[in-house]
Amino acid sequence: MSEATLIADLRHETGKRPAGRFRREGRVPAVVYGLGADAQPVTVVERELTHILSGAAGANTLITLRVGGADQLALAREIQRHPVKNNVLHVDFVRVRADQTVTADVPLHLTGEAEGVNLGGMLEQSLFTLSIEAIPSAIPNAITHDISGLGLNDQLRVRELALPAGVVVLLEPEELVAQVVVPRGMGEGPEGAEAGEGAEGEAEAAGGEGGGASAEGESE
Amino acid sequence: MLMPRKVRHRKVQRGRLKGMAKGGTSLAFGDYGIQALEPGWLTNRQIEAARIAMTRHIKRGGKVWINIFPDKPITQKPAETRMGSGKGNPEKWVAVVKPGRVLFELSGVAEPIAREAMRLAIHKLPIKARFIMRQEEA
Repeated sequence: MSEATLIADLRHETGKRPAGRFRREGRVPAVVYGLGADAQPVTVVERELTHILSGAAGANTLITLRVGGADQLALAREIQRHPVKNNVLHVDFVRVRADQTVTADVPLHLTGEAEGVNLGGMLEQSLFTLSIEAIPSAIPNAITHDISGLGLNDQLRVRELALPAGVVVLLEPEELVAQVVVPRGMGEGPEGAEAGEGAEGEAEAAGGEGGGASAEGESE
Repeated sequence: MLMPRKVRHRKVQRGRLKGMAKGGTSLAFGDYGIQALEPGWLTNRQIEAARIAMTRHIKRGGKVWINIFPDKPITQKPAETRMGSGKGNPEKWVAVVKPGRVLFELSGVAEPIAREAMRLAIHKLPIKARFIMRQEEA
């Protein structure tokens, strides 16, 4: 769990025009809420915020937010980013208490090379983040799991993941994390694989012709 | 070739391509992706050409996802036809793409192969697009 301090200025103007002005000045409009207190519109320096969010803990960094001289613990949530430039447009800071559990999405990293992949299988990861519940200081930066024992057609479920102490997963225990699947055409030997590729090529060619024919049919 | 099985209306208006993509701007399935940087219409032929370019390069292994679907019919009047006499015939199907939209995703291959496969695929598209990765995206 990483910690950081961020100085926020109270914001008195709301709406898209002031927000655009703040962004041009290098500040990100944000809002602080939670724990029953009133919501406070604020702005933070974009450079500092980006530095925190790109750190090891990312959005789960425990931020000490200094608003108007008072410190409050918060987590960055609902991070809105520009779809192309990827810069932060707006952030919600949710006030948290150090002794109260919060929910968080933690990245899930699979390490090692699965045994099934060495045998020609393909690893399919279906879960990239894990929803957990923990006190803010116990939120891990990431959850890693070694998959070197995963053979062909083997599956990794949520219940098999090793979690740090004080962390509770909010997902179903049987939810699929990753599996090693057998690619199409495998298991028939090299001849079968070649035949499969050939068949695919033919199918593509036929599809192209068929598509053309159907397009012509439509135009008539 | 991708196209709807049946549609409620055979012909639709062109519409406008304003703004950025609202959703589908991050990787959902794979480790690598192609992200649109310009707005445009992608025909089902272009989508198919890009998919073939990608699958041919990665050969065996790897999985490709197509995140867009060409569900908009485009009409054209026949050549050398006088104006009037109603709207033209449906000729092709397009997917409406706005900047930021992830068009294709790929997984199960090494990064250099994915990068090259997607570079080849981007050349089949009528818009500017870029290669993205799960790590860069976060």
